[in-house]
Amino acid sequence: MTNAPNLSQPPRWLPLHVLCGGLLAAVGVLALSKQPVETWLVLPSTATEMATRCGFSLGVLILALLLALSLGLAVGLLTRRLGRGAETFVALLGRVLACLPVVALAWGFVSLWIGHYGGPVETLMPTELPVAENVWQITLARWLWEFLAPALLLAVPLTGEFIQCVISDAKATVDLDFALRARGVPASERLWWHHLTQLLPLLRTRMQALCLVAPVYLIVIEDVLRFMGWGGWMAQSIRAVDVKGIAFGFATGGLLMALLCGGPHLLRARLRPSANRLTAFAWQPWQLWGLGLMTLPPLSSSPWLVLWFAVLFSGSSARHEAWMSVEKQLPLDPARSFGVSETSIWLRHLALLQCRMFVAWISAVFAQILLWIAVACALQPALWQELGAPLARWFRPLAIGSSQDAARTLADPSALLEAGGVIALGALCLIQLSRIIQPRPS
Amino acid sequence: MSLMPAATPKNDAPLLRIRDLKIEFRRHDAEPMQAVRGIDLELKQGECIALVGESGSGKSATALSFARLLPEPPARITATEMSLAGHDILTMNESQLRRIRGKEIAYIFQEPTTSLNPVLTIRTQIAEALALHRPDVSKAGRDDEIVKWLDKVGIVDSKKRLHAYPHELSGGMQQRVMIAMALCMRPKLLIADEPTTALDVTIQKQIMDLLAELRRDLDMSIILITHNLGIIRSVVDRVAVMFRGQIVETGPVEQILRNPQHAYTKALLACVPRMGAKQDRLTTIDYAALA
Repeated sequence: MTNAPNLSQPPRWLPLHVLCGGLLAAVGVLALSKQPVETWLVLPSTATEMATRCGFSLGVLILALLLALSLGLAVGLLTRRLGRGAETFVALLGRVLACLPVVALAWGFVSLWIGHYGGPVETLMPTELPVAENVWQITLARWLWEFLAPALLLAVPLTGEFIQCVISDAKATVDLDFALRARGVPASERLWWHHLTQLLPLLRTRMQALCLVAPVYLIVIEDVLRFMGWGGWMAQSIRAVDVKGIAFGFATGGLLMALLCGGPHLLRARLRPSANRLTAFAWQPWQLWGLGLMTLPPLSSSPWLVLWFAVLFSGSSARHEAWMSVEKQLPLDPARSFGVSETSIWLRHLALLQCRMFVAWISAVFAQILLWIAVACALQPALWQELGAPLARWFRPLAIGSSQDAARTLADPSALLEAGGVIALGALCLIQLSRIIQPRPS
Repeated sequence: MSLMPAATPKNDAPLLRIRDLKIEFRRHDAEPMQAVRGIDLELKQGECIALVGESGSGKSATALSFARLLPEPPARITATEMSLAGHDILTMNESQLRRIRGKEIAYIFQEPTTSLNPVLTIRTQIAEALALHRPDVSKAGRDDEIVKWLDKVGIVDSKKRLHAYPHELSGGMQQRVMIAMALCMRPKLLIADEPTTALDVTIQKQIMDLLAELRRDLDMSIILITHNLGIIRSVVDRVAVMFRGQIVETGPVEQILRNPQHAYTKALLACVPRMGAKQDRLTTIDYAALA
């Protein structure tokens, strides 16, 4: 989901950046579609309900993120006590969860719930009761029930992401266990007070990165569950190639993400925010913009290229920082002091590492691309036809465009789950390859 | 801060008594590695002893075993007697050990950056130690107590430093904070495991002077672990020389430094570079002659 070994620190005013980014993307979409300027501020007819939809989606996102963070922390910290072997295994399981295509998860859940277990459709979308019966407890229960399915589905990949983050970020903390034991500090305090205080600033960065990705996954989940949120709106707009709807979705999506990022932003991070322009550029919801823009002409002629660039941009600053930390440890200045030419320095010290770094980055980008193609096919089912033969075979079951496709999937989800599994496995292999090749500072 | 002469022990009751201490480490697919091979040690209240020896001689393993800090397994600690301030260390459970760690026996480690939490202020970390082991200090009085100890270890502008994070202090200052944190719990025994190795020479001298002065003021026992024989003279009463897991020679500091008996002690002393002494090359230990 976040295709970098270590994330770069976000810019100081991340929520503002994201909000402005959303507005700029909206303007970009309108300009690209050559909409008359005077109509830019005319809202779509259904825009009035957008505030309620955004509120619903924000609720689902907060619920899912908190659930994933709690589970990730619990699993990650418990695994810490079981030793290095267990940590490696659980981190891998986390990556597996993070690699599951969200469309396969959502349709798989609906198929199992309704098709296999025979649950009535209404259980996913509880109906409004007559006003007289609408006591607050029932209203609350209905809301919770309605929010539960999308939140739980969204929490699956997020939990996977958090589990592996808790384990991998723990390696960047100072191991105080021995010194604290010598001071007589109890085990619980060592874990919850000393380890967690070091971990939270790192998790805050991860959380903010996920705040930019999770709403895009929510588009698919809300679409599958027919949940009346911002994601449902975006899915309809993208499918109908509604320029104004997409632009409005970008602007409101920017606001939604700014609010989400604002929460962790308020926590004291004790880590210096990045002042790098590349960071400000990379910390934007490029995948959301990519999914919106790839449907619009002239970009619709090469949709995968748009998606490719979106994924490439979003991981660029983290890769840049990873490279800088590797480069810092290379003996470049001593080589220069011996009078070695820049070309020789590059050939002897940099070329191989840069090559490894590049291959690792490309592998990670390919892994992400696989997952985002799955999202794109879910939102624009016709896109699967533009894929090459081997890929088209695996992405076809995820492109559920017609009611016949939906009925077939509900009756027998095996093709969908099989395709989802293959895509997840492909993405996981590429991510593992990237992790193996990636040079690390010693 | 002046260099103080070593204090005389106040009474003869041993604070620490070790008899036939053996430590071995279990290894995968191999015989256990014997790190300490039966040592005897006795330390009186207010006495200061140096455990000297090269890296890997078993000094740190010995010192860590006094509070059972070595992870068991892979470590296995045995002794016919191992008592600290009347507590039988070997029969204590983890909860009992936790109560004496810090309170009866405190440690200062070589590298302060690995002992201080980088995201908590100095105040928070010392206050935690006080809350754990000094119930006599009220919550309201903790800041005054912390400032008192920071002053005592020579931290300038201690009230301002209360809210500093470790990275805002120099290495020497961080080590002073560690000493303050260890001492504020008023331990009976302080174990300083190479406390000056990570510091530059001028700071090394300051820290050793500080330990000597605090020992005199607080009537505390100290075990100083070092491989540097050049820094112990002003601080310790006795020296125990460790070689391959055994104490090969022990005695008053002046006797050991002036008239070493064991070949390893002689070799170790010969390795200390002396200012003004002409040497063609640095002396190294001839292990073949010691075997």
